[in-house]
Amino acid sequence: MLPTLLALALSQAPDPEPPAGPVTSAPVITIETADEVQHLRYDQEVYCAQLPPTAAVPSGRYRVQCDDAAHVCLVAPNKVLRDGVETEEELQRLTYCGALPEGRLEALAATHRFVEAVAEAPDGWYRDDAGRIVQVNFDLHRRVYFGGAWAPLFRPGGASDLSRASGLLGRGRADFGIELELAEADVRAVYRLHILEGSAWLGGDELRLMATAIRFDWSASRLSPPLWVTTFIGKPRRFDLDLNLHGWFETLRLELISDKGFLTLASANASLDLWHSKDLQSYLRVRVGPAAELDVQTKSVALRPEGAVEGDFTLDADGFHHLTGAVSFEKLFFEQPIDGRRGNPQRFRARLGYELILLAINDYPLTLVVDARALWRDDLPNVRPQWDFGLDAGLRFSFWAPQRRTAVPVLRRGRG
Amino acid sequence: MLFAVIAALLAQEPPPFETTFDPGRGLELRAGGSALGLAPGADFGLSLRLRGDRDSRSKAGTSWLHAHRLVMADARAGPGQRQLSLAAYEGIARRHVDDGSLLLPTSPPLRLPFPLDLGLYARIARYERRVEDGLGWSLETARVAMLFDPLRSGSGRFHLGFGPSLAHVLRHDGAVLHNELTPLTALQLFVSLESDDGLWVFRSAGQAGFTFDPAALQTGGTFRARGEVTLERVLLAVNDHPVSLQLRASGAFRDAGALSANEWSAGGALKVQLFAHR
Repeated sequence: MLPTLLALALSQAPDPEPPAGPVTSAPVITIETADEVQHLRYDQEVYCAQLPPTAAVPSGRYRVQCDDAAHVCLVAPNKVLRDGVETEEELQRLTYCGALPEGRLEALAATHRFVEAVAEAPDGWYRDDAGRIVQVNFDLHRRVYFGGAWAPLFRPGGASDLSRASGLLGRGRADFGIELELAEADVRAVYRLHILEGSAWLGGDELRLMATAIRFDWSASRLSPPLWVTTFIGKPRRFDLDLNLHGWFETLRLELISDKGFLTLASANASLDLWHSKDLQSYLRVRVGPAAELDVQTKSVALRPEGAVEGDFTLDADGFHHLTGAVSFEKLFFEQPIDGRRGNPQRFRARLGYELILLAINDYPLTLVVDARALWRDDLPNVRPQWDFGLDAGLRFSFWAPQRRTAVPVLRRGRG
Repeated sequence: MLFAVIAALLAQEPPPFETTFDPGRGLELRAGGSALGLAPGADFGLSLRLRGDRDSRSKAGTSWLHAHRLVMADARAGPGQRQLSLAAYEGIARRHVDDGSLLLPTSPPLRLPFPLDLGLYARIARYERRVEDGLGWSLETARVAMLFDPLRSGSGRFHLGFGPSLAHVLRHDGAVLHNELTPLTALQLFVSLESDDGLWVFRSAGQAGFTFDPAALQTGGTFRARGEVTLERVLLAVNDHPVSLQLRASGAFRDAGALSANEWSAGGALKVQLFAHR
């Protein structure tokens, strides 16, 4: 699975170059320079044509897109320019260009103006004046990522005795994860799959690991309300309840903390979207459900009801800013009694994170990740229940990360 | 702006929803409370209802109206009470004729008006267990009754049947297993009335009569009676599945549980009936 996904991610390398097609030979045409840079449209038909050679394009090979209503043809060099002159480097991420029908170019020359332009680019990609293309819109919900962070830990002392507080600065975190997001064509449902996602905190006298083999959930935008209530007191009336009720499932979540290990065999939650964005990528939801948890040391399985309020917000249209957060609660029942641990132990976790794309290397984004975390638990034998707080800051590199489904044509750098 | 939005909302065609239901079909789930004697307790119930009708192939002007109840489970929990009742099947099939008559084989034959529909009532495998009765239990293997219905309704929404019943019950009092036979010596009653829209339902069923223990026939029969009355009103529907308030009263004379006790109960419940669409 992983090699396949990595191959998929790495396949983001340039698309196969569309066949250039036969090139139409050139009548006498003057190419005008536009006051403002014009771009060919990716979603409209493009022709390859032979126009009169110029100093910038000695080959005379252009991409042509005509607007018959405006009597204008935009023409773009078919190669990358360097120092304003055509090179042998092919343009990347182009749409197919066909040959103009016989005599069509002569007809266009008589009725249309030919204006210099930049070749077309897919939605979410920007092509500069030289023809080079860069991705400026990223979907961080579809990626293979790894990263690291500085992750100091702070444990306050007793409520009235901060002198017992302790801090651990020499601590780091390593992250890895695969995120897939599948959407129906009309984006009425989004299915999220997280594979082998986890973090390990290293340093100090305590190792922590939290990793999940598979997590799956979905959000949907329904055409009709999933729940309605009809009352029959007096005239029958129908009240629609727009509940966005979905599912959340997890299997094989391993948590290691020092010498203790807890393995979640399976977890099934009902989730309710309190809010979600139109593209369903951002959401605020509540989820509750049962889980079965194996205590790795005692080899006993406990029932673990759990609940969480969690959110994931993409703050800008190009997917550069992400805010995530979660508050979760877990409690164990029917667990095997352990000396030094109270019955029905519980865990409370809170996390608030921010991720920002700093730059992209070969169109793979490098992000700054900042997390604030809090944890309280009494499930560790002979460990005094207490809060600990972490503030993690680091970098994350993501493969794949294609343009978002909501990406639009980018005609100016960073703007749609 | 606000007025425009309100106007647009009001102008929208309201979405369709069910306002009539079929109380005779669907999966019933019930939860409520009642007083058994003077002891409070919680009641839970489940059953599957089916019904239908069809015209007789052999007799013109005759139709069969039938109603069935399957997989009935009732449980009760309260201070000192843990009771479970299970039954495999209960149902009736009533033969309705447009013009009922009785033919006397005289010469010439005499045809007299017969103002009753005939029907058949059956209940199969009803098991009752009460923890407070100790190890005892009871199992009514089968009860069959021939019903006469003076209402003679052509609709399956109305039944009023009464007639003699035949039954066999195994009753284990914790030490001894008793066979109880009812050789047409009890009267069975079955009533079911529903409003046109299915929002109101009244039902009653019961039997009263003498049972006999084949091992002790010389002691004569024992009079036993049991009955139940329910009244339901649909209050609301969730996703077109009706939710009803149900009022229930029941009583038993020498017929409750393994110890053949006397008892009465009264209470209420909320009942959701899934798939009760017409």
